[in-house]
Amino acid sequence: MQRIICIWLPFLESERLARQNPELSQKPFVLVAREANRVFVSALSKSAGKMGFAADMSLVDVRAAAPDMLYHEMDPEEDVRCLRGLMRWASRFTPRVARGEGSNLYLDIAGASHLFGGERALLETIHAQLQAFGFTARLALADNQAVAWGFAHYGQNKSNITADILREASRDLSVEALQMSYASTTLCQRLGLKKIGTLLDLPRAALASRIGLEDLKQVDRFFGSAAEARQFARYRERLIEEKQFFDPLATSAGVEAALDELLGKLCVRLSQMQRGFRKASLWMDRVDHQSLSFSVLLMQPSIDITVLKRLFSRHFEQLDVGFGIDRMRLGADQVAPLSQRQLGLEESKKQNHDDNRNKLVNELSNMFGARQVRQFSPADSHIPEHTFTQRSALHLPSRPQSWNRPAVKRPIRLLKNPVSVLVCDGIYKAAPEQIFWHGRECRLTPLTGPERIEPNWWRQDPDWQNGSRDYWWVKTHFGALLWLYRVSHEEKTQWFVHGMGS
Amino acid sequence: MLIEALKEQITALELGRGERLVLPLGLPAIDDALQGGLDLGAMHELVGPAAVFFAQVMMRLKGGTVFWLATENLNEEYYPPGLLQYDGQPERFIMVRPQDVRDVLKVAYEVLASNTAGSVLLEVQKPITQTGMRKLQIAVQNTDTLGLVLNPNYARNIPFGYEALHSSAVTRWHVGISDWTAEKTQIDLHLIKNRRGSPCRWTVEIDHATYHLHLASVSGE
Repeated sequence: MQRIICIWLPFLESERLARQNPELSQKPFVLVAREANRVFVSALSKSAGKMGFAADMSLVDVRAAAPDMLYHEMDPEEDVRCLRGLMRWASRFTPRVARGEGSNLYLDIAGASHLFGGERALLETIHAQLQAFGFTARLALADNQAVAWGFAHYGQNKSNITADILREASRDLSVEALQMSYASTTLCQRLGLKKIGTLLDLPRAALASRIGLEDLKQVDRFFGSAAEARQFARYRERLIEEKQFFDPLATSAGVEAALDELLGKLCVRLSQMQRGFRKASLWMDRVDHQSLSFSVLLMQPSIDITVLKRLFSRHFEQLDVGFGIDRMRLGADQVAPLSQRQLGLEESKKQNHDDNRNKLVNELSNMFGARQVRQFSPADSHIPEHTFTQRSALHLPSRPQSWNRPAVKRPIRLLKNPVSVLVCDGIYKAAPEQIFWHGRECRLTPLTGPERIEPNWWRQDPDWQNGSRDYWWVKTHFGALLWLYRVSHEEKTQWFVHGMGS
Repeated sequence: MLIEALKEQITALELGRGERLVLPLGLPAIDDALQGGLDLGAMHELVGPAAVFFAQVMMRLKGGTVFWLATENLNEEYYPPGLLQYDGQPERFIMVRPQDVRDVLKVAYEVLASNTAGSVLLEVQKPITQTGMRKLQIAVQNTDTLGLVLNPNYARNIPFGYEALHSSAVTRWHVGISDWTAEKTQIDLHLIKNRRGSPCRWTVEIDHATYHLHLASVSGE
């Protein structure tokens, strides 16, 4: 059996905005949406509603009637986010919470209401709490969603409907509460069947021929003789372990011992799920209400306590426990399936070596940040600096990478920012004989060149805005090979060193 | 004979282990001067305009994972297509680029001591102090990692002998390019410091197809 509460927030959009901007709470205002050139009211505040305005009016009309009416842009994404937040809040009453169409929430409170002092008290509590948040709410409690929706929207606020009083209580409810199609609802109203009670007095066959089977099903759904389905939000199991301390921990040895315990518990839970940490976070609350948090990333999912502890203990070097830590929380932010490998005897040595290297990469990434420990990935481009990308060494490539050997000579090292070594007036086509490299004059012997590289014309690249480059290989008089390029622009030729090699 | 044996013992003591692991460069003249080849589990210094090139030759011979340690603000980057041309494996390259020079040394101790890298190439802005170098040497001993220290000013026109010669690296090389053609590169190899023997100087050719070293000429001792 279900006991469903429907929470309808008729002014969700405007009250959400008023909650974020407290100065709006007393003023009438409207929320507008744009459709082509038309700007129309999509939602409005309670006080604006009392002034006689309604949704779907055009903004021009509203401003003509009330010149100082404030208006704001609609933000549907923010509204959905707000509803999701309310769903999370509602999960304190029951684990089964769902979001309906529009600004409706459904709570299945079967078996949970006695914890809050009965159904009536629960309705009052929810209503009071929502009011404290600044939301106008209409609630109804019934055996199924259709009835709860109907009474929340068209019935008395906070009505509590049970199966035995349903027929009696719904007699005076408007037919719109049945959620039939628009055509059927207007048809019923035109025929004078404005209340559900009058509809029920008609023979079923006559009703079916008038409003159709689909809408008849809607009526059955309302009275509980047809099933309805709703998916309730499912919560992922929270991979968090927490420990509170009666006596605050004041030494790092104590913190480490507590971390050991938390890690042990969480690793046991993860090992049952065949999963390992990819990212773990540790929060510590200090007695003086400061909280510290650390997180570690892992290259391969692991539940090896010693590895994780070593990664965390890097952070403990500059740990300031202050007057002590009274709460610690360890969470597995990212988990991944543990890979189980069976090792051959001769493979195990190499595997061991690779594991050690991965551990090292892991530690270095956690010491300096994953962006400072990098590896190359190939990229497809003819622009020299775009033929490769760098990725964090923590993330192994998903596909095997293949590198193409270049057909022409390329430098071993590339300069991230090419260094300007010579500027001349006029257009020069040959390699220079002398440049200034690191503040000294440098005599050059050209080796190969020019090799023309054109920029990607379909892409805006600030480094290539001066057009094509001619690349040369030159040898300096002191024995270095430089990769030079020439850019000619506005009667000026500029030479850059872009790489070094041999 | 006795002196030879004693010398062996001294080197073993210096490196902190019984046997000596070497990486032969494949050129008898140089390998003899180094008494078998480059010491593994030891630090080597490289200076000169073609130091990066010679480092690549060494790292190619060693194989395994290459760790390149340099500060983030260095304007240079290894270039995978260029590495491929010299038979390098870009996928085996791991770059660690901390902000601070002190951190670079810290990483170097970790990586060298872990014995998981084939070679470690360390690049710092200023010459490493003698204490720092000694620490690196202690970290790398008992491993089979090839430790390389590169002077970042290598590509500038600075005469060699400029930096202090008394560091605890096992060898110190000055490398410059004397000639280049599409088929081979000729380099001037100057072994400035050699703990295994006397300093020497060679002109060596490297074939671009096979990457073998050939002796072009020996000049002086």
